[in-house]
Parts: sequence; C-alpha cells; structure tokens
Amino acid sequence: MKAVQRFGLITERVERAAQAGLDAAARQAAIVAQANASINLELEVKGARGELDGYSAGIKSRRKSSRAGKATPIARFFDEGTLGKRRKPVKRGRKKSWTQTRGGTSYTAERRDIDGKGIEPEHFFPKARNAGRKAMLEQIDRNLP
Amino acid sequence: MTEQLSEQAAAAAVTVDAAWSFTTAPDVNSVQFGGDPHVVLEAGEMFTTSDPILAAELAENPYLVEVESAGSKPRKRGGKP
Repeated sequence: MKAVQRFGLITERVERAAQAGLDAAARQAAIVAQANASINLELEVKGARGELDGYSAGIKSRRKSSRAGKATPIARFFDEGTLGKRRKPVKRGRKKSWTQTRGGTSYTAERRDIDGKGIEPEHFFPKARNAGRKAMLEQIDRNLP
Repeated sequence: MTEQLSEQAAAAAVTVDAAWSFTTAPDVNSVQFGGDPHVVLEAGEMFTTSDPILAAELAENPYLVEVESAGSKPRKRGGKP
C-alpha cells in the first residue's frame, strides 16, 4: 500500500474555490442590489482579498448626498428607509405654515418640503446578500464537487 | 515592531502585547461576504488596517505597545471596542 500526503494540493484547491465563490457573490450582489434600488448606488465591487484568516469580498455604495457641501453616503436611507417603525400613512396633512413664539418673538414658520414623508425601505442590501450567498454556494459546488 | 505602510493612506500597523480581540463595526452602506468581523490577536502579532476609525481606537487602547499611523487624523468615536 502506498499513501501520499496531498493536503497541500487540497488546501490550494479549496482556497481557489473560496476566492472564486466570493468573487461570484460580490458580482451577483452588485447586480441584485442595483436592480432593486431606485437610485444609482454607484457600487464598487471588491473582489476576494486576503484577511487575517481566510478571504472576503463585497460591494460598497459610493453614492453620496447631492446637497452642496455634504458627503453623506445615502444608500442606507434607501435600503432601510427613513420611516422608522411606522407602517401606516400619516393621518393628518402636514401644515404649510404655523406661528411660533421663541424668546418673546413671534414668527411664521413655512414648511419647505410639503410632500416630504420619508423614504420607503427598498431592502436591496438584504436581497443582494441572499443572492450573493446563493451564487457563492453554487460556485463552490461547481468547483468542489 | 511597527511598519510604516503608506504616506498617503490613513493606515496603522500595530503589535499587541497580550492576546486581545475586538469586533469591527459593520459598514451600513456595503455588503460583505466572508471574513470575520471579530478579530482575535495573539501576543506579538501584528495587525494592519486601512480603516482610520479603527486605527484610532487601536491607538487609544492601552494593550497596544506600538502604534504608528499615517494620513489625516480620524474623527473620534465614543466608547472602547
């Protein structure tokens, strides 16, 4: 009987499969995230790269606020929405203006954003995560039958 | 031993003097596959990061013996990791 130690070859093959799977996950996640978003997410696809232990890959939205002087990333506002836990529409219409007294001085406040009722959540990141994970497992299955 | 990584990038290379672990905060504008956000360092092990916030937290931790960072000064964030 002849026994041959092939752990090195096996490890190399598993590492290649892991990297290919992560690359596939990131590519698929980018497609699904953008397809489910109402804005251009300006996604950056980060391919498989070495970590302290193993590899990781992912996508990152580079879309920033269009307001002058602001550089706030806005993908989260559309992913999770800005309505909090509220599920029903606002019952009362929003006031266009009202009078307020502050420091003994009375003034009339004008609401600029009459229609501003927040952003409905689009949940494109969880959808992207699920699609990416599925693509990764399929890719690994193909490479490591 | 501390290694200078880059003059341009905000980065830090740190060496720990005792076994130490921390959890990196998730980026809410991204999706990541693989990788463990809970990092465990053994004594004498070197860790490098390009995240300026994490680098600042590492720099403030008393368990670290040597820290060198380059680039702009990161903003402070409350709490220890």
